[in-house]
Amino acid sequence: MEYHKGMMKTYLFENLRFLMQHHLFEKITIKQICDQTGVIRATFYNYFDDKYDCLNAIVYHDFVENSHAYLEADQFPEIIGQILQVVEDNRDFYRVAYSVSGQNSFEDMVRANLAILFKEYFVRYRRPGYLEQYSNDLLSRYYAECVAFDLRTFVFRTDGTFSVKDTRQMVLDLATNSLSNFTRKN
Amino acid sequence: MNMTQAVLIFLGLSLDGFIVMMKKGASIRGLTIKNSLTYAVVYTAADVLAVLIGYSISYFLKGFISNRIEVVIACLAIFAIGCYLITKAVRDTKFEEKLDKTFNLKQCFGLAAATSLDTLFLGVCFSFLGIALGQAIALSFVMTFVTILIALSIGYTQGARYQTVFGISGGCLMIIFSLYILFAYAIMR
Repeated sequence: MEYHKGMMKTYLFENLRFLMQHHLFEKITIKQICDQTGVIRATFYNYFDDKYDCLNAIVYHDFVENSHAYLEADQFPEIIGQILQVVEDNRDFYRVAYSVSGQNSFEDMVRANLAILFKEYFVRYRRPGYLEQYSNDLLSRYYAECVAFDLRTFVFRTDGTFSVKDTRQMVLDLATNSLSNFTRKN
Repeated sequence: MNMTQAVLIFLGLSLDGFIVMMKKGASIRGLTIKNSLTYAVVYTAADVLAVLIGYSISYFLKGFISNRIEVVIACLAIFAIGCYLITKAVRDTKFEEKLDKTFNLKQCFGLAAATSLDTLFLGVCFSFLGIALGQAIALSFVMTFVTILIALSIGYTQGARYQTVFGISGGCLMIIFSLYILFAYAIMR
């Protein structure tokens, strides 16, 4: 039953992902998502409150759910690599999705889901006793903001110079180096 | 004013409630026949009550003004309601379909009461235009009940689409007939 529920949720948001590549998000209706999936409105509302909630589920799936195995194994570089690979595979969708702005902007969804991921990471692997005045919440939001910036840059790059591997290295370099590493020491 | 004109004017007005309930239909998770009928009954009751209040108000006013003035006032009021419906339809174009977990009978009554204010004014107008109270109540009962049922069904199955078109059509219907009645019964006679 749980498996079936999970599958239905996936069908719904994957169909929204498909629809977004052919229609403006603002013009997509719940009926269209339901028709594409072959379900009735009540089924959609069983899983999502609205289409923004459905869009958020795509980001959660791509960034958080897909990274779970790497998170369990404490493989941070692989988490970043996985996220970049998903974005690369669905670049058309991500380009369109970033145009969703306003109160429920896509960029906010990206930040929020990256923050969830980072928070889980800090809860599991944070070094005890190190700068404890900074909460996991603050750290996860800070790093989510940074990675969200890198992701946006990656999605809209047009020159083709940055591969997934290069971008992964860039994210890791920027995330693991402090400001002092980039400046001249006295 | 004949019954066909009254029906068309009321149809124009009921498109306001139609839009409101179509939006609700698009926001409800499980719309059963029982739920639809209950919401339609609540809405109809509010509308019938508004017509009754409208007629009561009109009886107080009738002694003070002549028949011709009554018709003019009624037509201008219908014209104004029509303009209000069109303005509302043009302004409220943005609607996001979102699950409304809290919608219940109390909320439905609140919505009905808000949209019935127009019906109250229309009740006054109908009385001024010589429509019998029984006819007005029957009209309001049937039209509102059917409109709300259709609106909920369309909203649930199709989503809240074409709301601007419905709103403008309703408003236009009222404006056209208010002008027609004004010319036919107040100016030309």
